[in-house]
Amino acid sequence: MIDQVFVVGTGRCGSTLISNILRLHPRIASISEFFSFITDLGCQVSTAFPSHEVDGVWLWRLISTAWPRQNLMIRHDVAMDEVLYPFQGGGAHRFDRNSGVPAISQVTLPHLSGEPDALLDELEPLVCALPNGTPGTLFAQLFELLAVRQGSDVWVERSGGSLRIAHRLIEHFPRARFVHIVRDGRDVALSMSKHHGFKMVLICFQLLETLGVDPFVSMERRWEEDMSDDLASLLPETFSREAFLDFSTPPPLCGHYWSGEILEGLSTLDSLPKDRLLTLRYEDFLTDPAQTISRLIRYILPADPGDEAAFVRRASSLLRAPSTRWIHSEEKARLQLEDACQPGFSSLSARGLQW
Amino acid sequence: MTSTHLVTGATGFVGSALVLELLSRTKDQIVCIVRPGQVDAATRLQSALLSAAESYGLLERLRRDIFERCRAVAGDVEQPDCGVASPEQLTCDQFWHSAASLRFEDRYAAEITRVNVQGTAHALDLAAKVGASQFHYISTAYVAGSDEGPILEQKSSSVRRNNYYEISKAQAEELVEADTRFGRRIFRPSIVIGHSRTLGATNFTGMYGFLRKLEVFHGLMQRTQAGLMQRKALRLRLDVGAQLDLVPIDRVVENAVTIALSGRLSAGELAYFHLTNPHAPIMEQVIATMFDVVGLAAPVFASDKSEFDWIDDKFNERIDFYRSYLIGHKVFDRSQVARIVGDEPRKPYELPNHIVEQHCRWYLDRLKQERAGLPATR
Repeated sequence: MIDQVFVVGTGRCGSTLISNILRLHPRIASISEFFSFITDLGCQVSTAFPSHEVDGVWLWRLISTAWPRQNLMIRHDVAMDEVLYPFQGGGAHRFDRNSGVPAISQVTLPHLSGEPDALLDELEPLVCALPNGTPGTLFAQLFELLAVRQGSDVWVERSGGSLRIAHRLIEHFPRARFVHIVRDGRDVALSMSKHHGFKMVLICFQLLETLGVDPFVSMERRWEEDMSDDLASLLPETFSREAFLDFSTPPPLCGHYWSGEILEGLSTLDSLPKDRLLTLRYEDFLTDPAQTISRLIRYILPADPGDEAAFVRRASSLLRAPSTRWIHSEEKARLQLEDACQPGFSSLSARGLQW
Repeated sequence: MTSTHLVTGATGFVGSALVLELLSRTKDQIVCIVRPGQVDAATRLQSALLSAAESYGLLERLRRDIFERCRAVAGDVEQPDCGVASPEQLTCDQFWHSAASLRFEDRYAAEITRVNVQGTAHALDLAAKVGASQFHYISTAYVAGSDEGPILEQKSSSVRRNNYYEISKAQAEELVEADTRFGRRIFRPSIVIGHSRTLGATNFTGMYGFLRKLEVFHGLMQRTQAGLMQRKALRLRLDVGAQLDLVPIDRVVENAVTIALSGRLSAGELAYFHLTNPHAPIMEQVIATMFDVVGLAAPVFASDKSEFDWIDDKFNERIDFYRSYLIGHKVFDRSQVARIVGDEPRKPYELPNHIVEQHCRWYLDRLKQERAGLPATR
């Protein structure tokens, strides 16, 4: 039986690095950003985790649809850096900014294969033929297909900001183990405030709440007049690259978001037995890479981590020198950021994690 | 003797209540200029009036009058002659101009001017063409802008106004003031809320817009950090002890119609009336009640921003449009209204906390129903 592991975090916590490290291990299938894109940046979580049984055709539609938010970003040239599919056109690739890129082809498949279109074709009949089951069962079977295909003993799924859906992952994957990556909230917030994906998520929150409907699903615009001028330029029908780049997602907002994710996420992860959770600090990967990568690989492959020393050497080559940017902020901004992150730090401190 | 009233804005909050009041109190015919929407003007008018009558508990009494004494004429105040195809075929004695844009964001500046200022110019021209002798303009008490203290029922001399809406309504008043072809009454309601007995309302700006801002902010912060807004008290800039002039819709239209029916003004005569609340509630009590209804921690009231944190700043930016309601001790003089209307019962005006709460819950229940389908992001 293939082992199941999730790497969860707040987003901008260094977890992409973990996917890239794990991809170097021949016995690990590194499933990257699967849930980020099938939930269309977390804005259709209920669609991806229905409470009823689903079938392979349902799963195929979920993973092969070019969902609107992520493709609006691609179309307006503000896609996240994480998107690996070469949507810019040219070459022999099937999808581009005009056609839209299927959810699973944005990152997950190109992270696993240099030929994501061929892999997508290969998956279609296999996925469509999957028997009925809970969403978690079908996701697991898909990940297993990908793992078996490359001869792996374990799959490790990691999506940016998936701490937000940790309760759903625990419910739908009752035997999965979890790695929680934690990073200094002040640096996370600074990084989030500049990240296109999180900006889009925070914009979508505002659109949803202000309009009282999901503007990517409904054309109802009854409360459009309640929108600020800058937000009104970011509706699906008014969206522009300039308006997106001009829209501000200030670090204190991201700091409050980080605290919220930490508070709720830790409370969720507390329900796991100790052997199903490993918590690692991102900063430790940078300051003590050998020991931290060893802990990670021993947790993921407990029976036989393979040639650990060789793997640590290869993985260490991906790491950069540590840097802390928040301390360079001006005093007022720094105080606002610390204030916003304080609840998150308190919650981490209560569990023995200090900064 | 019956007469004919011509009403603009009859599908709006004040306009529809005004038509119902005229139906209740007179045997007059009422012609309404209605902009066709997805349905024709007549259907749209009937739908708006029936809905308003239902909200105010008047449906049984007025259903027949709505069909028999109200007539819709397709038009649009943004067009010359309010878009009426053959104005010479209309005759009316009393012209009520209540059509207005209640928007305020910068992006609507051109529209606000077109509807509120040019629309008033078009209404005045149409009133002359249909032979009206009386021109009643529904303005706002907040043409007073940033003025404080007693605000008299006279030409506004405010030099500082807070947004395009206030500016446009003041400019429209100037047009009415300059046009001496009619006897003119300028009615200035304050913040109009639902019916004093049924709580019903048909338009959700003003107090309802503020309540919606609170609900949206709460929802947004809930998605950002669940529970934060129950733990953190928002700081809010307002003048402690000042009144918040909320006035029930039935008091507004009852007084407007009483005043209009009290006698004719000669051409060139002009009078101002504050359709406001003589027993307006204290602002911080109303705001605290609204916070409580929405589920926000009790707010902290501040006279300046010195103690604001980042969230306080962002919240106050979001409610900036409402600053003119929250800042400044305004007391609207009602001498002219009182002179004509006389003594009024106190009860329909009184808004103790539990009544404010009922108004808020009436609206919030509807709003929550509308928003029930919002997707989870967790």
